[in-house]
Amino acid sequence: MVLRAEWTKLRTLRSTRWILLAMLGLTVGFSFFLASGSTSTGGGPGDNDIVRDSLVGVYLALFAVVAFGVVAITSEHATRTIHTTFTAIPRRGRVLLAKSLLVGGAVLVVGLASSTSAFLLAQHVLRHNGYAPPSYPEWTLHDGPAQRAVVGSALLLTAIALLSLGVGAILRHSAAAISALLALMFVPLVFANTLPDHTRELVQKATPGAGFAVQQTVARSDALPIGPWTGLGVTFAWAAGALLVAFVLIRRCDA
Amino acid sequence: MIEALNLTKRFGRTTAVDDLTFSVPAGCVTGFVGANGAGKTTTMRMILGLARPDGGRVLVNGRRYAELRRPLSQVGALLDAGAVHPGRRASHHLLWLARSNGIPRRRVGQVLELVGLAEVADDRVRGFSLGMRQRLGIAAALLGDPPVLIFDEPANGLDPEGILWLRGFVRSLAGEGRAVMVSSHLMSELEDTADRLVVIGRGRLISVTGVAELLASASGTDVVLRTPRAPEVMRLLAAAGATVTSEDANTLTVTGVDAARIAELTAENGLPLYELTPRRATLEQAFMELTGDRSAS
Repeated sequence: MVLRAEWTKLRTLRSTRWILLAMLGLTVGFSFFLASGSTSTGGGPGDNDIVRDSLVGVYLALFAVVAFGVVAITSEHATRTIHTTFTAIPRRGRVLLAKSLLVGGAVLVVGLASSTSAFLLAQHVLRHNGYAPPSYPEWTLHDGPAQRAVVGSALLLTAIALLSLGVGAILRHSAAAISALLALMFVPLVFANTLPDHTRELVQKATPGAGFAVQQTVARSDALPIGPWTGLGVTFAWAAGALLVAFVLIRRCDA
Repeated sequence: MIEALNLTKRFGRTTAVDDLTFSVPAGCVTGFVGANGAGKTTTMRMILGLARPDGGRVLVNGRRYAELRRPLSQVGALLDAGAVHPGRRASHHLLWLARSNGIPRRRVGQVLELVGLAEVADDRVRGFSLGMRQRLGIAAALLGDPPVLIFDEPANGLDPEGILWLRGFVRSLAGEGRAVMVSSHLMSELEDTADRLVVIGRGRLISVTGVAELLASASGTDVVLRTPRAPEVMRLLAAAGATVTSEDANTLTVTGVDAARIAELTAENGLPLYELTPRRATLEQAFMELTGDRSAS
């Protein structure tokens, strides 16, 4: 019943459609844009991570995903619908659980569509721009590392969506939650190079951005210092932590 | 029915609701009256489990709200008409509510019809006036056909026609045997609606009383009379122990002697009366009298 109610809520708002569409558009669009502007002259073996490069749009999709996850709960606080929700469903933990399943599910599905399309399109463009054998291997969705990067990107977006939902439920305010999340993810990315090596590695391994390691297929100097699945695990751990705190608070605090 | 026992809620150092005990029985309308900030909404939020009491407890149909299975079919509440997502259609708002409590979909159309919103069922709430949102809130409260109903200031934003409709509607709900609780900061709003009143001030219970008893208990009842021979009537009544003030050449206001006695006295003395009107204190005056000294302290 709770799941059906939350699903009805989600599908009856136009913003849901738009934001998921934005997520798809940003992933595919940005990946295509960067692939188009990049050429290789060939020659010796190249060291670009062209799998990761073709999934670069995921960085932009993050904005849409963060907004989606946060707003799924904070829009209820902003419009005070949350009171109506908790009156109809006094077991508040179930509300959060239902929202997690739906937000996570929607982002996983749209995320898979996004990362797959982005990968196929960008690979096609890159090959056309000179990223071709013998310098670069021809990646397809049947290759293990490529597959892991594509599916992993969708899982990464799912983890970020869940983290966003959790932070939204904790802070109960859209702008505050979105700012906090973007800071958490992009500040380490921007300032990483200004930190001493040891600290930088620690920050890269411990912040939610570690999940981007799942896109890596070449050991480069700018790669994240963490394994692909371990990195993704870090992001999911953040999501689980945020949801757990939210779960405790939502049951304890006055609505 | 609703039973509150020693209900207490503090916000920091302020005690918003202070040791409140009252009940809302089935089959009648219980008015919940108090000035703005007296703790009415906080009390209602505690009834609905939205706020946690710091002391005491409140039961709905013998259970804490959080323990109710399918609460919408036990209690219907209109607390805040604005608490609707403006981007959602009215029917969709009721649909998710229905889904959350396993209420059949056809009920959505029924309650929209009942509150007079059938024609705008598929409009987004964004374009609704406050009065329409009130009606939507009442529709939501009725969705589960509950035996207990709670309305917080339901007349807010309604036009005179809407207020009249609401009054009849609330009466009919109680007539069907439901327990109805209606809050207001205006006593006059409840005068024709409520059977009994729970009066609070500064979070404390001031009085639980019937509307009729409250009116009767109020001082300030007086009698207005018109006569062409005002000076003689004035002397006569003053001699009988009344306090008489002259409004104009023909009109007197009398306290201390009731209308029947005035009629007898003037008849015995052959003094003609054109009008003799006993005036009740209004509920508002009675309320002020009841709460006056306490809210001043």
